[in-house]
Amino acid sequence: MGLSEQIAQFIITGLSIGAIYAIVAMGFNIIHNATGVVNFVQCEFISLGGMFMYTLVVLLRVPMFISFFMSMAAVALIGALIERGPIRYARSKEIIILIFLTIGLSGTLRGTAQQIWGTDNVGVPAFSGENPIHLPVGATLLPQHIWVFGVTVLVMLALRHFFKNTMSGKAMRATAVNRKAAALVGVSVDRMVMLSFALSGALGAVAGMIIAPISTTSYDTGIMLGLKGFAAAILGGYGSFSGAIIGGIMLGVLESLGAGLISSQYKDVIAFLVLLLVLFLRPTGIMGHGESERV
Amino acid sequence: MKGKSLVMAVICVAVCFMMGSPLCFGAEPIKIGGIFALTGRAAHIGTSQRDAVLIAIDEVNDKGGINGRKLEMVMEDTESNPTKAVMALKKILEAEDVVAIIGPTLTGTAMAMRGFIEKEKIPAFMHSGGDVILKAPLKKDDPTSLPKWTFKSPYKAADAMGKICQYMNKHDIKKIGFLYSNEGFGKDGLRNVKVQAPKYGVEVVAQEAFAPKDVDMTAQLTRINAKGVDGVIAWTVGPAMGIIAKNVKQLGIKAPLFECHGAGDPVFWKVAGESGEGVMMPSTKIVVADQLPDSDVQKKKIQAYVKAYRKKFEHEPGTMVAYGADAAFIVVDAIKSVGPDRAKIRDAIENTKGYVGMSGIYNISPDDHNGLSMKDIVMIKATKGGWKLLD
Repeated sequence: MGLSEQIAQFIITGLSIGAIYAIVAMGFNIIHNATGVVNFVQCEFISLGGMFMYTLVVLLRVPMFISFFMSMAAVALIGALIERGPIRYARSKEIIILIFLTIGLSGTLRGTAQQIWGTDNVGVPAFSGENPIHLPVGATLLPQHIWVFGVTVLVMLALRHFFKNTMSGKAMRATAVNRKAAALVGVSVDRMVMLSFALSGALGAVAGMIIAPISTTSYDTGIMLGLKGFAAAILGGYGSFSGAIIGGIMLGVLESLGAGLISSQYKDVIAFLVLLLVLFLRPTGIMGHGESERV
Repeated sequence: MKGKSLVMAVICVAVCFMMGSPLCFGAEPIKIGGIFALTGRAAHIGTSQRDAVLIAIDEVNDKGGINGRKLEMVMEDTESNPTKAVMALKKILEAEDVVAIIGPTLTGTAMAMRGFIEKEKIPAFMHSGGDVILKAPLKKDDPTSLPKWTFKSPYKAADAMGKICQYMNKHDIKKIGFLYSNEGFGKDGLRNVKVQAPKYGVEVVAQEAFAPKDVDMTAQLTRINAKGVDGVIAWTVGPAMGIIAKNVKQLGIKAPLFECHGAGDPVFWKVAGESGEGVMMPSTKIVVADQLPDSDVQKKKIQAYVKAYRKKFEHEPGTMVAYGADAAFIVVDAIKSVGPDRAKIRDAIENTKGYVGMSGIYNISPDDHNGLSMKDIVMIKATKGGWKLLD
């Protein structure tokens, strides 16, 4: 196998992992824009998405397509409930307190998931077979990788449509820019915040479900993906949607190229060195602009 | 008069009966500490080893305990994390009067606990795969400062690696790639393969690392495959076992895949799915008990244990159940023969000779705190959701 084929393989691999990071980063951003909080429950959204999918598809034998939307709805509901309960009724609205609250919630959810599903990693069948596809550039990928790309693109387009063209989406953006002004023109700010948690939940679940057939899933599989997604969000510029995509893809490709071309031993070191470098030169991230416009 | 003696006899029988029954253990239980990876990435190993130890303890207590004293395990979780493992050990030693420690599961956690075990002078029978826990000196500048209180029940990783290389030699596999997880166990494997492979005329032409929680190893495997290898060894436990098997199929790598001596576990099939088919690995005989020849001295014992395991937990034991069981039975035997005294238990364990266990025949000595050898290991192949014994 020649070097160009190898590089093609590294990039394909990097893109598919990067797409997952991008979706996760998007989840972090949506909640950040609505509340200013870094929501660490995002990690659990990913694990829960994967585990619900496993329960429905493998244990209950529900068709894949239906399971996908059921899991997504279930995790979105959990996201909404988290906002409805602990976040809304927290006695302090200090950002730092709320962030710690999400860390606590994340632990609680993980512990509960562990009690329900145990600690084993479990596999989920691929959406459409496991026969490798050979690309003309010399790289191979699984049908599941195409699903990962496809679903990511669809999710991004849907989000774009939602934020640009629908009333709820516009109201959410208004809330992000200025909470008080949004309330004054009749936007139900509370509902928008809840919606942002539900949306993040759905995004996390999607990420967890599309990666599960490739990487297997477990009650704590979201920790690593969540942290990488968080790093991607920072890299792209925290709060920026296009930044989430760029940051995610960049992190994924860097990791893969670093492992493939330089040294697999220092894979994460290489990726995170670039992250540090970018933040050093551009503290707001690649697509971030100055002061973040949180509420 | 006749009536009176009858009453006396009944009372005597009743008292005797009660003394033997668990209800009437007058004495304090003998406690041992069990430290396992019950959560985290090695959870599937830790939990099955815990189960293996519980069966051993049940067996002792069902037979009346040790000199009328019940055996009890105080359990802690390492969360597959070295720091938490040390905290768990300290917690047990401070809160309870334990005579021995069983566990931990991972090499990294064992290395972290080892110094403390030696300082506290408590015998510890560990389940960790890596040999470094016995071989690495405790003091950096003194190569003779080897652990005195630390034992391990899984056969030496060096022997498992040797077994693979021996098999490769026999089947004309000469150039291999080595893929390892970048932590204690994986690095231990890397050291071993460099020593063992040349002995059997096998050359390691590529070595690649990955982080234990990585979800994709195609980059590393692409690099290995580019070197034109005719065999790949992957040294890791946990979900990575399955991801690697899937990645090998995805990249269309023709070279056969070998995994470590921890892979022969039902969880392998859960994470690998159909891609697991054909992967080979060294294992204890416990997963292929029924395929053993009748001349095998371990066969009957293993079959009986497997039966008890199935009955209690309603699933098949994995290869690492054997390590948990052996550690527990040897410690229990030591306590039975010398009583609940830490130093005497240590000496008794060190003098275990010819013990027929699940993992093999243990001949422990001051120079060898493991006691198994390469002939205790079998090569198996993952076939149709189960295991096939190779020649």
